Amino acid sequence: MFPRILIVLAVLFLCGTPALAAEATGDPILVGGLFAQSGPAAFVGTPSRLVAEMTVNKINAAGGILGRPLKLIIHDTESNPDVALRLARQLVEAENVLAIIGPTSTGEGLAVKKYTEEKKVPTIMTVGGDPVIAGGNFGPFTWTFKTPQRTSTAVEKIYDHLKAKGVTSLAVMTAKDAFGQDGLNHLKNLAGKYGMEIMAEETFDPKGTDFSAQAFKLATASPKAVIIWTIGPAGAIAAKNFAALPGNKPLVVECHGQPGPEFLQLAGPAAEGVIMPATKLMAPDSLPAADPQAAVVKAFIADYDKEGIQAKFPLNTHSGYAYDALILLQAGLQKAGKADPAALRDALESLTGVVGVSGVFTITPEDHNGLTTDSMVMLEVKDGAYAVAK
Amino acid sequence: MVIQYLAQIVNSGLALGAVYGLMAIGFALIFNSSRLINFAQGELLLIGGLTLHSLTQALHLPPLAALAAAAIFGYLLGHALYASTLGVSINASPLRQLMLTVAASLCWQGVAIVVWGKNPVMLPQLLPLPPVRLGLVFLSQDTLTALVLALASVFFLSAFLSSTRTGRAIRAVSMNPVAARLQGIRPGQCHALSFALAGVLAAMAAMAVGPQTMLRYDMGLGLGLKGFVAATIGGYASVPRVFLGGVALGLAEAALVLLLSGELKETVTYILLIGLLVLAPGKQETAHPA
Repeated sequence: MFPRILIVLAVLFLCGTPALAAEATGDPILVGGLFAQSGPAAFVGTPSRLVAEMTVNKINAAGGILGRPLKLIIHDTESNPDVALRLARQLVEAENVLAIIGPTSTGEGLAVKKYTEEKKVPTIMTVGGDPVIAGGNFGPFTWTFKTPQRTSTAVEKIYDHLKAKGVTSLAVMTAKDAFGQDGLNHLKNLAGKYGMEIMAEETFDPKGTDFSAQAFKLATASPKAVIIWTIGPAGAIAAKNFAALPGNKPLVVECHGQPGPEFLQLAGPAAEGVIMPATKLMAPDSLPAADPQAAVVKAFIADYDKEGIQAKFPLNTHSGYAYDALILLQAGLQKAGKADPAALRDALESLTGVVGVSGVFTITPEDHNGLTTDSMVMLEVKDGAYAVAK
Repeated sequence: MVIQYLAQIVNSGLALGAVYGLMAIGFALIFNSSRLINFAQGELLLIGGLTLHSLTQALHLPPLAALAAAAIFGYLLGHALYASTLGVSINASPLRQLMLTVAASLCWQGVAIVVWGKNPVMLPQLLPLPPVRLGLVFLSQDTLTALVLALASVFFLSAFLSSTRTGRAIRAVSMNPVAARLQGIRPGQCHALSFALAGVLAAMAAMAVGPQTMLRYDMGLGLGLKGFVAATIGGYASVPRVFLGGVALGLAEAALVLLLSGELKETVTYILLIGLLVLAPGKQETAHPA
């Protein structure tokens, strides 16, 4: 601890007096922000950064945390695990942050996690995949949290919906990357519990441009539904490939990474009737007034619009993750009562009922995400727009 | 089951094969008239398709207007490519001409990134034809559109080359530039025209491939090389045969993807190219456009 304080003092000395927010006084609480602002995950990372800045400004305008302003030190991970790890080191060793928000992709998250666990830095990730908080082979997750729903939560949401519809025969088509593999594992592991029968499975390269061969092979097994697990344009291509098949087509189910305007635009008419689990951000108007998230979601959407982010990055299912990470950080720090990593970690682990955009977080030592299937809705594409699936 | 598989191979093979065929004809046109391998062929398709996409965003294009717009823009693009490569290096060594087309390919890719970004762009189906089922064979909307576009292009191009004065001039230049010049034909004009025609064909190919696989800044080189392979299979000599070379390549690829795996597709395609180049040497030297 001692040398770290010396470095802080040296940095403060070199920089002169730190900038003080008008409403909050005292030294700023330094938090690192790792966002993929370039590379394949940039479509999630760049808006996440803007949302993080928006949220920090909002927190500071309301008096900061523990009377101190929050200062976010932001870096671009280039969607690259190696770069993400290097920047995490820089944040911890040179910039002395208390905690880290991000990174964006599952691969980056795994690279960063090993280091932050070792250095005991509370890290609230915005990655889609579960391995970062899965434990077991993936190592301990004592200091790691994540705000997007677990893959297993999304799978359970899908299985719940299909079961209610009487659909039990499935085919699965998963990307070959870490995200797709994670999806495949959970789809298989949970199938038995919900009485689902997986009749055929295929994998595909998420950078590919045509999956009609896989679609055809899956369709020959005549499943009632096919579940496609990938993020990015590949999901739309797969939906198109299924739509182009002759004869009886299975119901197309996309994963929770797809909901957003891009899917509708790329898949065009092929999107019609496709269903997918999403955060409530995608269906603000269908939330009952009693839903605890309704007010938070609506306020977030209004801010998102007002800050001009909507114009550049139309709202999608991922938009709220960085907001949730900062809200959890705020709640954690307030509960801890001091800006200390260990106290913050302990507080984060015992948070209950923190209402965020992606759901109501109740974190336990076993569950470092804290969201259940109640935090999601099933969407169906109808007339080129998302509606809540009946 | 076997028949289903065959039907699927035919469906997806024809969809891509038609595109490869169009690219191959463009390749062969330029190669025959100027003995130049045009590495920017794929970028003609890319920029043509992306511009068409921007047009569809700005205004509603009925099918015929879209066709005309694509053809006109492809024509201009072909001329622009000629003016910036062969046009400025007509007396330079073939190697320098070749490098100019490589440079043009990379420059245009850069333009695509700057103007349209790195995310794929979905070109809407501008020529919506209904999917058809002929007995056991099923042709999806994209396949049928690609085929109709390609066959119409082949028909018009063949007619143009064989029965118009300008078309015959292009063929004369490809057979013997010196003799053609002695007959009062300007080879430069014919070179430019073959680039422009390749541009039109590429724009047609863009209309066919855009709704199938989307348009992305880095797709040009791959498609251009497929055109090269297809032209080699077809033997460079006659328009219909070069086109059939493309169709054969498309069907072979579809069969590979379905029966083996998608990963091996590129490897096997280029092994095929190596085999062809080794087994059929000299054929190109004696080839003449029909």
